[in-house]
Amino acid sequence: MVRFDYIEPCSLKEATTLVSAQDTKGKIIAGGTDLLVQIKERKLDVDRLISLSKIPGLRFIHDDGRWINIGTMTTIRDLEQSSVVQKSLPVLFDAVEGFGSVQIRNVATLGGNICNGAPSADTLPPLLALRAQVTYQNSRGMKRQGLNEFFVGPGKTVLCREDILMEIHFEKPHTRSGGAYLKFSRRKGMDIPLLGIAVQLQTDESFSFFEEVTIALGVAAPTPIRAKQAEEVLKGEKVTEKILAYAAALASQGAKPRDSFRCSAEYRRAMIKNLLPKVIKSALSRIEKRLEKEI
Amino acid sequence: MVHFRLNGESVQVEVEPWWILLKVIRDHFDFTGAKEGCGYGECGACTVLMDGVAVNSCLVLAAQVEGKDIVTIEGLLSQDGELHPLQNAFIEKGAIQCGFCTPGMILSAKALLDQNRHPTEEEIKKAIVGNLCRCTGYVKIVEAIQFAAGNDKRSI
Repeated sequence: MVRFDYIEPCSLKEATTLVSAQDTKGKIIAGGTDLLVQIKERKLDVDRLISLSKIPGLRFIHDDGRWINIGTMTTIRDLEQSSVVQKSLPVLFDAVEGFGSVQIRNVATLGGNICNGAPSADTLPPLLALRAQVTYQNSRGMKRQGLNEFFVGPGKTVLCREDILMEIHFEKPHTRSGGAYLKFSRRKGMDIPLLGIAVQLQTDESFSFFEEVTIALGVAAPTPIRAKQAEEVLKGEKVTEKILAYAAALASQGAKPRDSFRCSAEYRRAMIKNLLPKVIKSALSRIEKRLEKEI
Repeated sequence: MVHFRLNGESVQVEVEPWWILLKVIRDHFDFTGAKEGCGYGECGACTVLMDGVAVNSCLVLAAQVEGKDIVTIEGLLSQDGELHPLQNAFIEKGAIQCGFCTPGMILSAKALLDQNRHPTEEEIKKAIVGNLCRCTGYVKIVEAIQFAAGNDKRSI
């Protein structure tokens, strides 16, 4: 095992100072389920780990009625068991329920999944579909920005070494809004997606027209992406098989998947085309079901 | 120096910052029930309970368990040395072959039953998704957990 120092500071300020120290190769550790694997595989050159686990106020799911704010150290299991996520955020619930294993979900954090920036990370397409923003801080202050501009390459984000992600925010979905995430994988558990498709929709009162549409894809490009062309085509339109097929074709063309040992780029493109209409329909049926219950 | 509870007893141990919890449990405390299968959080053979929930002890640093409550398979024995009902159920239902996955499997099952006394078959399968067994094909394991939960009609 690579040798390193391990520190648990009690404040963000202290963590910032420790991680930005010039004489060390420091790295923030949240849950560590990805980071420790990278260290064990010797893929990460590090001599100091700074844990956020003892810093108060980083693990919460807060719903103020308009916005939902989530602390960076909130575990995937916290999200899975949260009534806010279960009731109002089906797109995120789908992702966290199928994430790794129970053992991983008990430890892995939302902040860690975001900062790790894997193209296959299960929480990222749902967060993009929810138009999430993130707040991070460094010694110069705090910055809030859209998650859609956060990822710059596989495993690469805009964060510099001294930046610490603190919070994830998104607007609480409208009552006529619903979402779904499809993790397309060979096994149901303990697997990463061959393709991830997240949609968040808002319809009119008759469920026949799309008012708002966001679509995000995982493992379809070097970073998780929004399928903006497909979104534009659907917005304001009547829900028909034809328009769904057209939007799915656009999303498939717009994606930049790669060949990997898991499957080919061509297969991923074909699956976007085939599966996107299904995910949209599943989100639509959820909106109807929920509103029927309320009526 | 790290202080924590291990199978009900307060313990302390001098550790290096890079030591993995699994190594300390096995090499220092001689609780060899937790196994290293993959070492990368995939197989679940190293599963222990940390503050009541299942975690992969191969992905936890010993330095991270300060003040925490850790339970390994050895901690499931009663004070008079009686096996836990889950352990008995695994024996009764033939849910053990080579036994390498069994400690982790039973601890994942315990974490489930502590939270959900009467899980469905689907809930049981989801709870043990992170515990690989290469012998049994899982059928008898799921049966054993149902038996321990009192869901198996033959046990009534």
